[in-house]
Amino acid sequence: MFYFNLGIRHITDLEGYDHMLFLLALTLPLSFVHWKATLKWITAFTIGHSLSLALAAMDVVHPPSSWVELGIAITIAATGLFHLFNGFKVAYGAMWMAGIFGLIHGLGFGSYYQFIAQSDSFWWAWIPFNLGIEAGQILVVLVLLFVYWSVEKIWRNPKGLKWMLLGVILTLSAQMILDRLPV
Amino acid sequence: MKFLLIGLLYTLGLQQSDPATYTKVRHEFYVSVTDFNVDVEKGAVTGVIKTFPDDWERAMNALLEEKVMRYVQLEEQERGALHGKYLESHVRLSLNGTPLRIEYYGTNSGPDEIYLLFTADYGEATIEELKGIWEVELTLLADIYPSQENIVIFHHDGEKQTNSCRDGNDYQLQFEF
Repeated sequence: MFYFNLGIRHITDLEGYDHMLFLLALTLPLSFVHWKATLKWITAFTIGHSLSLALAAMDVVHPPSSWVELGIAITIAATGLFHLFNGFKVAYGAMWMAGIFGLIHGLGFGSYYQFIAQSDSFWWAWIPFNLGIEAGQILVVLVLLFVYWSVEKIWRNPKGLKWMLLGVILTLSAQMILDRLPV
Repeated sequence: MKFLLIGLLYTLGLQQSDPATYTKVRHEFYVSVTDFNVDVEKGAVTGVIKTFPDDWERAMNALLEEKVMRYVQLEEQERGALHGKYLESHVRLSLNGTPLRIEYYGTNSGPDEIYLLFTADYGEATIEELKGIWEVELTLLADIYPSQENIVIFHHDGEKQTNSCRDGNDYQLQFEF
């Protein structure tokens, strides 16, 4: 249960809000009626994240962390731009995009997982940790979808909110990219 | 489109008012892992703390009374004394309310980590007498990093429990065996 909770905290940690911002970008076109697509997209992200996390923690791959951090920032901007160019439609390609981008996000956590899982059994911790990540993402996305739904009921202009959020996402991710450019 | 601009301008405005918010985008983790092992043959709980060398060095520098002296300049023996002093005030262990004295006994270094070894003697006791509530307080590095999380893996008679000391639980844990 400890590693499951750790997975949830990893996603919902406000100090490292990269994941939250990515989830915000990913779910921009979604609403409660798209629950199947929602589940597919975030599960694809978790699968990608879990795979690369294991590979990085086992030292199969070890890209420089500065490039991984830059990659994570780029995935956030790219996800926002993907939805912008698709006119906020629920595009099939988003599932693949989420899976591939999950691979990059997982690399960012490999060294941390390697450090904490050395004393415990690697796989014994890996499975609940990744299930926790999936559960954490579902929680965050449910909150986001509820916010979108509420705004739609009150403001009756859900697109307005999503355009504004896109502005926030693109500005923050651009700032992240500039901050993380290896010098 | 006007809403996109509103979002852009809002975020830029926020950034101007609090630029520090946006420099914290990199996710830094402050974590240690401690194994406690109830060793009946030795009559003691043996402990191994694994932490990052740079985090540890910063804590040791903060502890040095003579501020011009740096941790890296110390002799092996002086470092050991400093480690012991720090551990004795940042690791607490008790069984059913009775505190056990923590004694530091050495350091090992790995490629990217440092291991601090300690024991807590409880004298002669059977494994049955060592059952009950073990309380752990591990504030290691929490005085340096407010988001420090100290993972604890407690081994007792073939059983193992894992949890973490962190700000949310005042760095205190209970394990029941």
